[in-house]
Amino acid sequence: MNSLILTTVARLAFFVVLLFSLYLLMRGHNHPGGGFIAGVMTALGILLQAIASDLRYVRRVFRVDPRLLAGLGLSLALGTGVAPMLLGYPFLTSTFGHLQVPGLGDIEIASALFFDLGVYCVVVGGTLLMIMTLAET
Amino acid sequence: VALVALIFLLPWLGAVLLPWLQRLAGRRLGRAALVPPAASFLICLSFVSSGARGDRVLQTLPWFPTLGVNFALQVDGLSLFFALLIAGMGLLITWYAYYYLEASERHSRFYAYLLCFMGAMLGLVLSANLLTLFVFWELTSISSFLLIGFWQTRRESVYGARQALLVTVLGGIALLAGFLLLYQVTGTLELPELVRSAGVVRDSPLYPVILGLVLVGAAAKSAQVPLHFWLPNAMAAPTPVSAYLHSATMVKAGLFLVCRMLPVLGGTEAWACTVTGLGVVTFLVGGALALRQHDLKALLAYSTISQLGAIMFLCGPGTAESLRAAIFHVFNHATFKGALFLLVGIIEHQAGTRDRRELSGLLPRLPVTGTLAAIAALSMAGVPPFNGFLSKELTYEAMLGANPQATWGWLLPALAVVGSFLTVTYSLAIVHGIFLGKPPKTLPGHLHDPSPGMLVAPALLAGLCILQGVWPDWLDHRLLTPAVSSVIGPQPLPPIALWHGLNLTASLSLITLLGGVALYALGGSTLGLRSATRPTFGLNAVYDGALAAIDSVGGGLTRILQSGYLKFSVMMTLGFLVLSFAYPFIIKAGAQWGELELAPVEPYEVVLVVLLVISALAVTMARQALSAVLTLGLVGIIVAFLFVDLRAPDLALTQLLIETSSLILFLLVIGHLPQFRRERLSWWVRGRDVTVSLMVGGLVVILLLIANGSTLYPSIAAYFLEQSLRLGGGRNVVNVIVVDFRGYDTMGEITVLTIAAIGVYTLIRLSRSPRGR
Repeated sequence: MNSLILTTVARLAFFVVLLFSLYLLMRGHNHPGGGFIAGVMTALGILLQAIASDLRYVRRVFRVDPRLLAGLGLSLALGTGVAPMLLGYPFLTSTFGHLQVPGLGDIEIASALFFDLGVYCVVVGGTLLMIMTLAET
Repeated sequence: VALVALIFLLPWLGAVLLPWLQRLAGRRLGRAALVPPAASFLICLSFVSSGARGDRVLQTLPWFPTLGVNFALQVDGLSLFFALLIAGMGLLITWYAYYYLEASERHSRFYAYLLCFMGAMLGLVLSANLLTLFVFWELTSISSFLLIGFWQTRRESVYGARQALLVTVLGGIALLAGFLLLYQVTGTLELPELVRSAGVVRDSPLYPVILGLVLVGAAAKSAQVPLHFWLPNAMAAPTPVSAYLHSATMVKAGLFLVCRMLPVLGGTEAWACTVTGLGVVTFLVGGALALRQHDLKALLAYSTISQLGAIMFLCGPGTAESLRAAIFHVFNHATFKGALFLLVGIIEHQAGTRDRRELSGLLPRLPVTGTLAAIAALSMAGVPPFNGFLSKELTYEAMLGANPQATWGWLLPALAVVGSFLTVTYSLAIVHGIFLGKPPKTLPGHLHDPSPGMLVAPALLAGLCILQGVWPDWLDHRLLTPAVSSVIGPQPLPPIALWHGLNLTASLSLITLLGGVALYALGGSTLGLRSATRPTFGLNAVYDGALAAIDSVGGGLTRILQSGYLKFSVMMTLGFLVLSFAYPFIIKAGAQWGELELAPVEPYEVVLVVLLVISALAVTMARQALSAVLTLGLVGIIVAFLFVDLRAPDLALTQLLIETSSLILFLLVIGHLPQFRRERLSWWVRGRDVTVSLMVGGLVVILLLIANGSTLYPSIAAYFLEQSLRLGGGRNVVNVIVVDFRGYDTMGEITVLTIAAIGVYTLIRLSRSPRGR
């Protein structure tokens, strides 16, 4: 597709989409959002570039191999599961703590966020891998 | 105490790190691969003195505590003996592989697989929980598959790898079923607990089933007749692998399991008969088949089957004497058979063949190799003063002492003697047939011993054959007796000695040697060579036939279900859904729904539902593919609005995103779809389509009503709402359920997503590459 308006808007919009998806990821524990939704949104943001420009543009800008990303996410999720075992807790035990940061106030840090980050990576990687493979044909 | 876990974690760590070192180390990678087994071996050694005192180190890590599944490891006499054997042999094999592998081969992959196996095997013997044990058990099967198939381009490697995997994994499934039944009977999977509740198991009506299933698993792994046929085909693996997995360690896993289960399942008539019978048949059949092989490696494979049978045979009576003989023979078999495999690898490496019809009189050309092979083979034959002689003496003693009163008490020693005739005969076929006699003219002229480095491992093993023959006390006191007492409690055992005086055992040994020599002299080892048929008793053919049958049934079903006509596939799927749900949920449960908790319907919702129905009808009337896809997207978006109205923002967000991405997917493939045509459909076809659609819709409505009205189980929603903030630390209950309460489900789902993505990727890539076609 060769639409100058779409291409320009899509390139600008990409950062907004990415930022918003990261926002969804971070707030997921307390508000609507979470790794799955954020992952699909990031993947869609990247796909929008593929439609507005082309796959070659996406490959040039987005250099992470989706296969690697999916594997990384899976390892991260598994790692969050195994880590408590090293401390003597059952597999996938989660924990959380609160941090007082001056200027930002009370920040909650939950180990589940790392698990959700893994979900996010798997969803982005898996979706991109499927759709980009299909798009190449 | 975390030291115990390090024993099997170190090889795995090595397996992960080695591929990264490949570029740095090049061919010297084989040296780096020595570190993990050496470290594991040293850690095991540090446990020897406490193991000899009879202490047991038990280390439990909760895994799924609510199900009683724990990641439990233990170091007792038996596991320590096996762990030392695995790590020690691993060290020697890794050393040897450095010389064996060609420079062009994928070294990092080989060593990574080998270390993977080592870790799994060490974990198996250290497990104190049956489920932990099972996981490691399956991992050894998988790493064995990778190692047999190491030369991926060779047909027989692929065949052997697949066969070994299928047979051992099928055995593994039987084993798992047996373990689960044990859990059902005793309510525990922990080995120490199981030993305490052995009486309950033996009195249970399920006992014969449990025994059968566990023994099928053990027999498949330890190549007992009739599940032995995969082992000779596994010889397509590189020789270090054959020596390590398919002779010294992995095939002993079944015997290890039988020893472990002896205090739980043993001590009954059924156990004694089945285990002894299994062992005897394997001992004799394996020995007889070994004589018919002209490939030296196949001869060693069948002789391994036979020796495994002999050890299984010893596990049957379950007395202290027989158990010590069994464990001693596990060690001796690892030394002499490991050495023989490595030496055959050298012969093949130097002479370019391992066909014994083309090999003879090698001793003058390969003096060191020949001497070492002679020591190992004579030990196998049970000639003094090598260690094989001692374990054979112990075998006879144990068999004579097993059932002295019974009328058939003479049968066990007699069978042991007959089996040993065959052992002596094929051992002579190696010593006399290969190394002595006149060399044939076909031998290459430059034949010589390999570099000293390659001979180190077999020389050490042959040295152990002599050392343990002359001075078995250290091994006996430190490892064998503690191993026996860890299985059946402390037992007084006489010392092992080379010479007991001219008693019954000594005379039986003499008879064995004379009989074996006579059988060899009569041509027993060359008898089968003349017959043209492959001696597998047709079991390979049965296996091939079964695979072909599965293929053809699967192919036939696929041709019916995947006719290439999409509408038909969809209708089959939906029809099956209706039938499979309708019966259990509606007809059998009587379609009862009690008082429905229905929310009041708002006017806004009425509008949305009317729009939903209109757009759904519009999809069926679309004249172009594009408009059908877009209208379908509209349906999804209206559903998302409904979710917003019902105050489910997470669902609405997900629904919107999924609608968008499936729309994009449709748009991507729409160019590849066949021309979208509206044909005039007959009334019959329309009626059928409408009926199926109504049935599916009706089913969903009824299921929803049943789900809403049923009070079979109290709802857990309240629990999640209450505990979400306290236990999960989050106010978004949906998210806390996904990442915390039901984290294990999510783990499975993202794994499936990854596998699905890789599946799409490979299917499309393969169908486009010329090789895939």
